[in-house]
Amino acid sequence: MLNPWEVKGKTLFEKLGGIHWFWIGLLLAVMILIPILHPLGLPITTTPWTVDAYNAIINAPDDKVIIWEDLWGLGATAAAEAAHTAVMRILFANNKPFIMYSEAPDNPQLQQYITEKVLKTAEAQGKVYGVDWVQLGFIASGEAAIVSVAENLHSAFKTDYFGTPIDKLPLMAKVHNYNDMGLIISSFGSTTWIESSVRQWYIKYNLPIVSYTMTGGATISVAYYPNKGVVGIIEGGRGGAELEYLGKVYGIAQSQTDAKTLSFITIAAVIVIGNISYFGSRGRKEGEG
Amino acid sequence: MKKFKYHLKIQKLVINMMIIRPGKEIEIIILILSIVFFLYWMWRSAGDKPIPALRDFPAIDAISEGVGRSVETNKPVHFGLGESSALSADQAAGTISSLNFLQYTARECARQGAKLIVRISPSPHLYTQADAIVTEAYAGEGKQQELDKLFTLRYYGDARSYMTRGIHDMDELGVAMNVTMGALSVETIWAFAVCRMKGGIGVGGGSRWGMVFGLAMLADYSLLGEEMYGASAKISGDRNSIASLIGGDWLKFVIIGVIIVAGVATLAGRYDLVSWVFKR
Amino acid sequence: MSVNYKTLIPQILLSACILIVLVEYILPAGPLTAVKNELTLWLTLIGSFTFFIAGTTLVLKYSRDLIRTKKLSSVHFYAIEFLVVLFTYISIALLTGGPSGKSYTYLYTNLQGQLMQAGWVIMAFLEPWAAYKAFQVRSLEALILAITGFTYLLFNAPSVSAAFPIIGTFANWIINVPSLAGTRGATIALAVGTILLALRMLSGKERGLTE
Repeated sequence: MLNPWEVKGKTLFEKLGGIHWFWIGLLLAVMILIPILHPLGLPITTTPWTVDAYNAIINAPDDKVIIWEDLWGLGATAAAEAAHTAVMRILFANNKPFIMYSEAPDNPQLQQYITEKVLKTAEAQGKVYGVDWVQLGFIASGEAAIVSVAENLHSAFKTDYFGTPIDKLPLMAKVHNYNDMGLIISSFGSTTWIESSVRQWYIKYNLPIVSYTMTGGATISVAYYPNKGVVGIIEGGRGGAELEYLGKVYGIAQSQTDAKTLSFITIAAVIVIGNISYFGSRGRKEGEG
Repeated sequence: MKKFKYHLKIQKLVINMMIIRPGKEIEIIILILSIVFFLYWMWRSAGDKPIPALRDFPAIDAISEGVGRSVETNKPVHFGLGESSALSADQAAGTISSLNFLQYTARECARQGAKLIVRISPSPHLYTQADAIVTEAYAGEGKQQELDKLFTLRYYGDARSYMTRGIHDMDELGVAMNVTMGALSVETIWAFAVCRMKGGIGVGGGSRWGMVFGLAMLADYSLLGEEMYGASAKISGDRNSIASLIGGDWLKFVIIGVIIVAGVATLAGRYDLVSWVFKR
Repeated sequence: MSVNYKTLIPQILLSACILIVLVEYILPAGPLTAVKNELTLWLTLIGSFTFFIAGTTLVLKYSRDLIRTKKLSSVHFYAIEFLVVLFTYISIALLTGGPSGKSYTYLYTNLQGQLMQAGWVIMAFLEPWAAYKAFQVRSLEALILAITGFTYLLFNAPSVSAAFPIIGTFANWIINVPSLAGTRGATIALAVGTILLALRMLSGKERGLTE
């Protein structure tokens, strides 16, 4: 375990399966560092569900407000930053007023961090807090909180995250309940929260949802796409990169997708090597037997 | 065709007479059916009428076997409550099953004299539950003096700490058996991978079906989805739980029947006959 | 006849709340909707209060660990660390404008946030080795998992699906056909289980919750 130079095994196949974790980790680190230090500009494709998500955001009704329920945690900033930034910039660029609230205790800090970054971009110039967007803060109870927010937003939140009474925020005067909401962006750092969102926002209140999930979450969100509640899916960092491309709000996602490509290829390669070792060693043992 | 239109008219009439929320007819029918099946099986259970026995679950026997192995090898039994377990929302059912399994495992460990380590979920509310269950299990076997709560009950904090400390404890102390039940996340991978590497028996059950692939691949004995609820009912010996599961199976048969009929109708080009089931 | 009020009162409350929500779901919108909405708001308040209970539970737990452990060990370290960090955060929040204040946000984001991210990053370097060791194709099921998992892994490497469109096509088929079927089946099974749990809670047959 402690000696990285030690390679266990007698035959070549066994040695292939005995590589120390240090070398595999080092290989992965190199594959991630290369594109971060020098972006490679590798091409990416857009997925139909991300295109639909983008269209749903830019075509949200102008007379209603977009609600962004957010469950990403602060620890997932690296994974969430690209797509969060892209979504916020697209909302600002298309003059879509939105209200953010958190269902994870450490999400408000993430939202603040992203907001501070986005406010320095061109899309946020001229935007006024309280008029163009509001950050409401954390509400407990998960799925039950959706009901509170949808039925009577002003009862669910008396102040925003910064302690300002919501009656003093002009945007909040336009939104009281689900009738004033045009689109829900449901963002979560897991894969299964979309079921709660669909149960409440769509089944009860007939509101369309853009599912912004972590990598791998599209497999679950797709059950409700495209016409069972989910109108579009943004899948992790890849979704963020696609949004940057679609909305022309280029940011950090490009270098991240290059790093992602190389790291995923590396992981695929080591799994193949592990299986070559397994089958090769097994064949030798069977032969000896 | 005429008969079918006549049936549709009757259906509309019945629904209009019922005071129910428009657009939710099929959901309410399913809800009423589930209540009817549930009440029927509760009545059978309460009246001491025979109820079908649940099949055997090898995982239950494996827990006893693993505890015996723990005594022989002097390595502890690790019990994980599930890193996403919580007594709220859709994790509640899995968490309650997990606590049932904890009671069973703790009792076995107390009875046979095996060391037990309980990894408590990041949800701190489960700490008091686990404490009470383990204390009661040991007291029930008259072995309260042998319970070292500091060694047994381990709360690690958030999901990352749960994983790193859980792996550390399994690596440092050894693993005779790892039992992980409840609302699982990546625990299905690391817990059973480390258990396998250390030569332990892996027994797992998950209600969060998105992660059951880990159980299927890495656990020696797995309880997938409803199997966990069934096994939990079996070890609790509660007739009511078993009876309600059978009522749930009846409901599933009805839903399967509806899906088959809808599938056949759609393939035959007559989706219009069943579209009322799926409309919103 | 003795009555166990410790379980009876929570059970009555539980059954009443479930009954109200259930009946409100069936009936058209009316007076019961206002009752249900008020109950939901109370549930949110109780949910917030449970954070206080969780904090108290942990303070008691770590205090007990500190007092009962005679020999100096890592248990003391973890207990002291927890108590110091908890009371530091509480003090800063109370003295400098709450959790949204600059000091608290700075401390939380730059200390806690970075540590949490470091935790994820450290794991990221070990995961390929875990996959290399554990994901071996030992059976037909594992082979199917390997093929589908591989395809989805490469699909999520954005440039791979740009270079090899067949991967995107196959991945889309996997997501929209077999995975979707399994997802819907599992969702139905989960829904049935949840309905049963709710009915057992309503009728007082779910002992795990109130005992």
